[in-house]
Formats: sequence, C-alpha cells, structure tokens
Amino acid sequence: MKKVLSILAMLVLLIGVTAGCSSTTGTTSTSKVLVTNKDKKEISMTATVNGKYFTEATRHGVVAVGGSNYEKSVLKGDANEVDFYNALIEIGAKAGNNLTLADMTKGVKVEGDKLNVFVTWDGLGKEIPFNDIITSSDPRPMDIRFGGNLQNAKDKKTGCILCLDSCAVGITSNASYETGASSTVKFYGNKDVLPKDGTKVTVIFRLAQ
Amino acid sequence: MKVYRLIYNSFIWGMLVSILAFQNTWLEMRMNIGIIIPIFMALFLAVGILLEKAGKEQLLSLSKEFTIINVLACTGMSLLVLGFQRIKVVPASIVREGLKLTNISFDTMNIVLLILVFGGVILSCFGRGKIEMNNVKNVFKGGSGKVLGILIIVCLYFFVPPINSFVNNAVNVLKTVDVQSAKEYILSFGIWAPVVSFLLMILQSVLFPLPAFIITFANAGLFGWVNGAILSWTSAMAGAALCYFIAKFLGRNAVEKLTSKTALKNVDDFFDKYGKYAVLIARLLPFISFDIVSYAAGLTSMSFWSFFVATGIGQLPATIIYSYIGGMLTGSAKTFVTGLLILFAVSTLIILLKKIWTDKKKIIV
Repeated sequence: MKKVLSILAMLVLLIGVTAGCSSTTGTTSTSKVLVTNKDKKEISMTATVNGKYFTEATRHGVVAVGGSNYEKSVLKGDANEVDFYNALIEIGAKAGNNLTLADMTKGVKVEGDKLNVFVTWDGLGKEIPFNDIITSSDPRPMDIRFGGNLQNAKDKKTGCILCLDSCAVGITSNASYETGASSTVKFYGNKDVLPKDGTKVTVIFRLAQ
Repeated sequence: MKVYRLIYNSFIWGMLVSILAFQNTWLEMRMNIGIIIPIFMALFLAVGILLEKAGKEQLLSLSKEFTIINVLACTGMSLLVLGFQRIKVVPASIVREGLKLTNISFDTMNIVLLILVFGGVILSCFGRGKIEMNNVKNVFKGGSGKVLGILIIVCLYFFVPPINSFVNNAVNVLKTVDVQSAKEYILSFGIWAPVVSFLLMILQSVLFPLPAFIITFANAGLFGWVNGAILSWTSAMAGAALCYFIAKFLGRNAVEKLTSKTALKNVDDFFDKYGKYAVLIARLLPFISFDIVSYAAGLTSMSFWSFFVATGIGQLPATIIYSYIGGMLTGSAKTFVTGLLILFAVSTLIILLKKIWTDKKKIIV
C-alpha cells in the first residue's frame, strides 16, 4: 500500500508540474480577448491552435472557452459566444436566424450577413484567409455567414463561434456546405499553414461590404 | 505490488479502449473520451477489492510477465490502429482533454505518457521472483491471458481498416469456390501475391468451411505446380500450427464453435483408434478434414513437434497431386481436359475410399 501511495503521489506531482508548464506562445494574457472596431466593422478574437485536428476530422472552426465543444475545434477561442454575438451586432451585422435545430438534418444553408474571416499570429506580418487554414475532403470556397442562433447557443452551451458547415447553433457558419454536410465531408486544420499546437492566434471577423 | 499492477494494467486498458473509442467520430465529437481511463481504473480497482473480500483475488492476479505482455500488446494495437503520425497526437490529446490540461503541449504530454507507460513496466518488474519464461507461456494459458488474446484479435479486425477489408474480401472470394476468382484476387496484390496466398491459406484454416483446394489450385495456376506446391505446403503447415495452438489455447468449446460438434466427435474416434499415428494417417486420407484434425490434435496431449512432422509428411502427397492437377488446368486445351479427367478420377477414388472406410468401420463395430 505504501508503494502504491508513493507512486500515486509521484503521478500527481508529475501532472502538477506539467500542468504548470504552459506551452502557449504568442501574445501575453494581458491582451484583450475580444476587440471590436466599429470604424473598420471588424472584431478580433484571440484563440489557440488545437493541433489534434491536423490529423483528426472536425466540423468546428472556432469554439468559445467554456463551451462543451471547446476541445473539439481547430481554434479554441478565448471569448465567449454571447459576447461575440453582441460584438457582431455592434458592428452592424445582421443575423440570418433562418435555421432551426430540425434543419440540421435537412441539408439547408445558413443565411445572414457575409463575413470575411482571417487569421494572424505574432511574427506572421499578414492576415491569412480562414479558408486557407482549413483543408477538406470536398474543397469549396468559404462563405461565412452571421447565422445568429443566440437562443440555441445559450440553450446548447456548445460555445460554437464558427462552424465549418451550416449550423443552427453556431453564431457564424459556412454557407458553402449545407447542414449535415460534415457527416460525409471531412474538415481538418491545415498543418502546412497554421502554426503548431498551442500557438496563440488572432481571428479577425470583418463585415463584408 | 499486486494493487499497483492492477491499477497500472487497468490504466493501459483504459488507454487502449479510449483510443478505440476515439476512432468513432460521433463519440469523439460528443464526449470527453479521456474520462474512460479513470473509469476503467476505478472499475478494476473496485472489482479487485470485491474479489479480495470474496477470497477470489487470484482471478485478477496479474503477474509481471502478464503486465509486460499486456503493455506490448496494447502499445502494438494502438500503433496499428492509429499509425505513426496519429499516435504522436491522439493519446496525448485524449489525456490532455481528460484532465482538462488544455495548456500542455503534445510534446510534453507524450513525454509524460512515455514515462508512465515504460516506467510503469519497469516498476512492475520489481517484486518477488525473476521473470520466468515458463510464466510467460503460462500467461496465455490463464484466463486473463486468453481474454487479452481474444480482445487483441477482435480489435484488430474491427479497428484496423486494412485488416478488416482484407479479411472481408478474402472470405468473399473463398466463399465463391471459384479458382479463377481466387487467382485474380491473389494476382491483384502484385509482388505480394505469394504472401497474400499464404495468409489466405491460414485464414481458411481458421474459418473451417472455406475450401483449401481452391487456393492450392490457384497457387499452381499462378506460380507453376512446383512453386505452387511449395507455397501451398508451407502455408498449410502454418495454418495447421495455428489451428493446433488455437485448440490448445482456447479449449474444446471454442473449437466446436469454429468447426462442428459432430465433425470433431468423428475425429475424436479416429484419434482414439490410431493414437500417435492418427495425424499421419488422417493427412494421407484426403476425405478427412485437414483443419479439424489440426484442431483435434491441439485438444490432445500430442506434442506440437510430433503433430508438425506428421502433418508435414502426411499432407505432402495430396499437395503434390492437387498442385499438379491445378497446374494442368491452366495449360492448353489438351492439358486442361487431361487435368479435368485426372481430377474426376481422383475425386471418384476419394469417394470410393471414403465408402470403403465407412463400410469397414461399420463391420468392425
């Protein structure tokens, strides 16, 4: 029993030490996680790269911290989805609110104001279109729309900010793919473009003119 | 040390099961897969405590040898399921997500896992007694070893797509009982054709109703009757050895499920009558099932090497004849017809021999 307890104690210590070793790179935690610019009609949100989805498929582009799908997305967002929704309204974007939960199996496309989405990180010196950080088994040009879905988002608590196919829960989603497309189409983070797992990035949502 | 090994082995199993669960996208998207690991550990600990209270702790007694084999088997399985690229990411992401340590990099988590897995094995080796080879063999005779072995085979079939599709395609081809289909299937693997033929023969050994002569004919047609005979003979030997060890490992009940109770009983009578010469005689009689004899031998006290030598000698005449006929069936029209006539004659002889044999048994009775 003493041997077992000492081994368990070692295990806890090992995990504690590694938990203290933060591997995030990029901007420090003093940066604001969600910045709204009404003049440029854009929102910037910090996020962290999730390298799991370089090799595994997912349908989540960006998910907010605290959401149940937080670990299931290519980028793990630092702001919550309700603040993000309000920021989009602040820059004058109009939500489509055309999808219901029943539509998730009907192959319907999301509507709402178009958003141009980009990603950047320290040292890059440019903005990369979100389209370029995602690979797909059925590539199509991205068409990100402000779906709205605030009530569904609050009810489901998934934290979904940007879904890679049309969605009745995500605040924004990709109208290039209809609802349910992700059951056949596989989406991955593009490891040739994105920085390594754990890197802090900034996601920019700009209202298309 | 027993409690430690129980916790450690259940961690390894929990890790493997979570990796297998991760393969299901529906599950992976909806749950924290990492939670499976502590559930497994808690479950096995609870079972261990209950068994100890009931005075049956030996049922879950996990030796050093078992622990080492378990770690190697589960690590090998994980590698087969995930491949080299994904194994650097998936286990680390499972544990990271399970522990909610989202800030830890995969590299750091992989180092932790390597220390846990291999350090755990080294720690398991401490304790009373050395690691004995006899104990390694005994692992597979014990209940936990058998369960582990079966689990490995089932997981390989269901979770490794190349194995799953190979087995399904091979069974479909052999079920058609068509030499041409078998030839085309084997040939489709190009340079790997002899290896695939070898594996097919082993597969048909285990799945009793699938016919071996189809593969023998196909080998002769593809590689010439001499090379075909060599390939068929060696692969049949491997299949026979596998059946022998399956019977030794899993026992009579499992063998009856793989074959049939009646067929096994008939061969039992044969073994009772002819003792240590049973295998040799059975191999020389083409109407006695090759595979059932192999299984039956594994259920007796016959040593492996006696069985192996008897099988090698006994199956040689039939292999040569079938291969020669199979080679003729791919030649010109004249040799094809000659081959067919010989095949007809041999088949008739076999039926006749079987009738004489059966009648002789009735008279004696």
